[in-house]
Amino acid sequence: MDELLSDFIVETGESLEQIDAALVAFEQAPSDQAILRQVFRLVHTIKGTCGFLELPRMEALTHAAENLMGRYRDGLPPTADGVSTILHVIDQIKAQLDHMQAHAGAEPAGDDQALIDALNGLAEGADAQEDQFGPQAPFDSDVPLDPLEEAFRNAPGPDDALSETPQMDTDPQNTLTAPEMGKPTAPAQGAIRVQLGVLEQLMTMVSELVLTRNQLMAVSREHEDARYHTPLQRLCSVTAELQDGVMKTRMQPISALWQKMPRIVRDLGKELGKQIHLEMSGEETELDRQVLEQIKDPLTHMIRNAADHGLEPPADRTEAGKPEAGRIELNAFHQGGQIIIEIRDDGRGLDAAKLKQKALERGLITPADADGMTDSQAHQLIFHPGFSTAQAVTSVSGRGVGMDVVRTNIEMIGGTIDLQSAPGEGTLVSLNIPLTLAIVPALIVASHDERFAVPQRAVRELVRVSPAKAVKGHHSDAEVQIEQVSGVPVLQLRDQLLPILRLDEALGAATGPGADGGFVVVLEIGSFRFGLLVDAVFHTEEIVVKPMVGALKELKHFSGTTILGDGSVIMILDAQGLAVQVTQSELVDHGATHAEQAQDNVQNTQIELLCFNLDGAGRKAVPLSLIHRLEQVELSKIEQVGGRSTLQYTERLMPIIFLRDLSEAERASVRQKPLLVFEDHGFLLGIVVDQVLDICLAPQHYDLDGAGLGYLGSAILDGKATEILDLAYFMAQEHPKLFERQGQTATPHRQKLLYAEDSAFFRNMLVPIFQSAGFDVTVCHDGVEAMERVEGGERYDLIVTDIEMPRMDGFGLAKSISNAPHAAQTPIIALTSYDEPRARDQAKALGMSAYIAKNDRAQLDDALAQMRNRLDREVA
Amino acid sequence: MDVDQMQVVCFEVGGQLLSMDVTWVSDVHKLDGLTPVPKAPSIVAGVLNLRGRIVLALNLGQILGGKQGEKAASLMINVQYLNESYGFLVDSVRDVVSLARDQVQPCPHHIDPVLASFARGTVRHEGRLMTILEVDGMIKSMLSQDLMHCA
Repeated sequence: MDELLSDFIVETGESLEQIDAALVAFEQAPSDQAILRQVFRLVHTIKGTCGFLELPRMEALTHAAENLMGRYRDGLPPTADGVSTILHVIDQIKAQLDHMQAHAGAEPAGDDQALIDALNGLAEGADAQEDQFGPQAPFDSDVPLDPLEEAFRNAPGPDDALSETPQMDTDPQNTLTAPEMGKPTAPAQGAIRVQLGVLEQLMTMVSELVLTRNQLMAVSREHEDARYHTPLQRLCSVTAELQDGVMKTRMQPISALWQKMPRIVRDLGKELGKQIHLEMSGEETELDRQVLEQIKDPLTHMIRNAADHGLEPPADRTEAGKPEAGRIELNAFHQGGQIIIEIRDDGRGLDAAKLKQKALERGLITPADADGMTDSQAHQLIFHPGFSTAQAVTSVSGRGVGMDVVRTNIEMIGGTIDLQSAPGEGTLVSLNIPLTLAIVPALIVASHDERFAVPQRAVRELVRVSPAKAVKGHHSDAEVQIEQVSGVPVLQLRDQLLPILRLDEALGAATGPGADGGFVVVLEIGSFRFGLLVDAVFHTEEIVVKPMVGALKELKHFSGTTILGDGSVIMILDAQGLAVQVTQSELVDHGATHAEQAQDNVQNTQIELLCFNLDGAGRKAVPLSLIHRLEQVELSKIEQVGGRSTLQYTERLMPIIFLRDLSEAERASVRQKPLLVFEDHGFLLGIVVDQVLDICLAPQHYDLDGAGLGYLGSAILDGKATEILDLAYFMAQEHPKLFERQGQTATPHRQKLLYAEDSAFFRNMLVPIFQSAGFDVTVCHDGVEAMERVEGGERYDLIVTDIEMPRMDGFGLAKSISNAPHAAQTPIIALTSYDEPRARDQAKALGMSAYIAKNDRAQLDDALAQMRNRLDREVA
Repeated sequence: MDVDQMQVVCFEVGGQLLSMDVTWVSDVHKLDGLTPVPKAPSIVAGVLNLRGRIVLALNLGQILGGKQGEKAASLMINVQYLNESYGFLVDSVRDVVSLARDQVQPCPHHIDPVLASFARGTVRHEGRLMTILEVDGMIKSMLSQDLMHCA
């Protein structure tokens, strides 16, 4: 028998048991809407499934029953007749199911017209004519067998004896119920259904067994009796295997559920006259069996909804300029301790206005509610019981119970459901399923002899670090060790400066400055990376996540508890909760990582400034993106060469700048000071500062007046006046060649660059960069000014523009430039502080050559170099 | 069971003789394999595994105003409350005794207000005064303290 069909029979059987009980309760309390809804949903589910499985007889019957119940739900007072008629329907379905079970899934021939008429009659308010069907058997057992069934019975083969058996053994008058006794046709699939409770029980017992085994081991160690040795060892391995096996029984890849979807979608498409492509990804995502079971119906409902309500008929799609075939995407993945399942369609999307109107008609909301509703609030209306968006009721999903059921089921397992929709573009429903039931691989680590589990999904790598020794200048690569920047630990990992969180400190267990040796577990949350310093790393293990004890849910650095193989309880560390500790600490380390983050993930591209302190000279800051490395340097290592301070740095000489005068004693001291290392086109520059303070976001306003030499101006950072370093000034002083070279080696005439930027800060920061790349820069303060210059006939080789500007933004500028005949071919680079895909697309559509985040120095340099090369070639 | 009778488990914490209704108690066992929970309020002694259930072990001595740093409690009385398992650390567990309800006298008014919030009354047992604790009230009180400390 078809697996789908056999599942259906078993499940429907279970559902019917519930309906029976619920209907009886309903009869006694006809005003109880909750019971009615429950019954309605169950019948609806059966009906829907019958549709897919092509069981027309049962579908017709359930449709009529659902219709009647729909009337009750909408306010028709239920009558005893009505309820008993529905109960008859239930009996009838049961009998048909039994028949299908016994006959390889074939629906019994005949129809239930009498019942359906009665149901329809009731739905119209007429009395049911009980005698039409009352005394009858559920259905006539002397109906002729349908051809398929007949063929099956008569077919010779291995099944023959089996299928004949029940016929022989039982009363021929009762052929419909007889097969129940032996269920001989049930196929042997190598799988059985087991109650979850049994599995849970098994799990608990195995834990107990492990515990007992461990006690036994302890006893045997004390007594040193060799006779125990072998059997105990055996016990150990068997227990471990048993435990393993039991744990595995709980997990299933989501594909177990999804494999049914293509068929369902295909059938839906046929029925609805739509072409539907189903795409699935993340099939291997493992879900707890229990969770899987719970999301099965919601998922099916949502796919039905997407196909029925979401996707437009082919004609409409063509009209809207979409491909005729609609797409439904299913995607599953782990994220932030949850399993996310997305169902996306590219259909018409939700119409907020229509939803509101419908809700008004149904009396679910008041006109005042509707007015005050945002679109996304209006979208939530579809989760309301008794809400339907389809204009016509179809047999697929028409009654609006779908989303109601979905939400109930998802919330039952502690999940959430989120819906996003854009008119004409489609709908995305995402289910966030908690991981609390799931098993995750975790790394077991220890700090101060206490073990903890770190979920593997956050772990990027492990680094062994040796205990700190006297650091001399810069450390060798062979030996990785934790260093201190302004009193906080960091780790130089390849080209990344990683903030380090000491686990013992984070957990408040640190006793003084502990050893810096151990292991650094590099964790990644989103694009933020940090290192967790632990004393020891053991192994990875599949752990069963148990939710945090209620009273301890407040502890953000733990996400739960787990019982290890040896029976002990350990806490599961929450990487996200720990990351908060790093990012909240007001120190430099997270800034370095923020810069990394900004580069990795250009979504959030605000300019960050590194603030530092000069003794006696106050707070200064420099754009973080310009900093190449942060080092610690002994001042005595800095040598005087030709009146200039230099330091041997990575086998090169690096000019060093002191931003304040140092006394002889200071210069000779072996004390270490932070050194900011800058690099531009291979030229190094080091600036010695007294303390590195913090990373701040660049403020909106700068005071550019009265800035001294070497400073761009000042700004208020963290409530304190801070001077911003003009790096270009120092670079030009120490490396005059940097600017000359670029001027000379380039083409005989320097290229002209028009730069539109409303922020004085960026003008000051970026103009030197353009100049050092070999451009003559003309600066404009907004788009209009730039446009006037271009329209006035000025010619430029390259235009660089900010996006967000007053009067006319960068896109406007690009548009108007493309209209100016002499400038239309000029390449345009868009600079932005807000990177978002849509803006990126717009830049592309406008023919802009590049779209670069302002703080992404590397990309800007690349783009400028490319542009120069191209221009040079054109000139040549 | 006679409605006028109640059965209580007697135990000692920090030198005080206490008891609780036996129907609450699911287990009494030796304290073994307790995992401390860093950063948890001090009232939380740790968590442990009891037949596959995670039990939150609570320092009963502390909430009763006992002096800290006394010898470690060695026994745990396990109770179920709102689907979670809690364990109270106690120094020793004595008998289960039957008490007539009318034996129970209200607590003196000047006892510790925290204790008063979950003390059902006192009774003289084997010559000593014994306080009868209300388990649900006690857990509630401990948890509310918990939250205070965590915040």
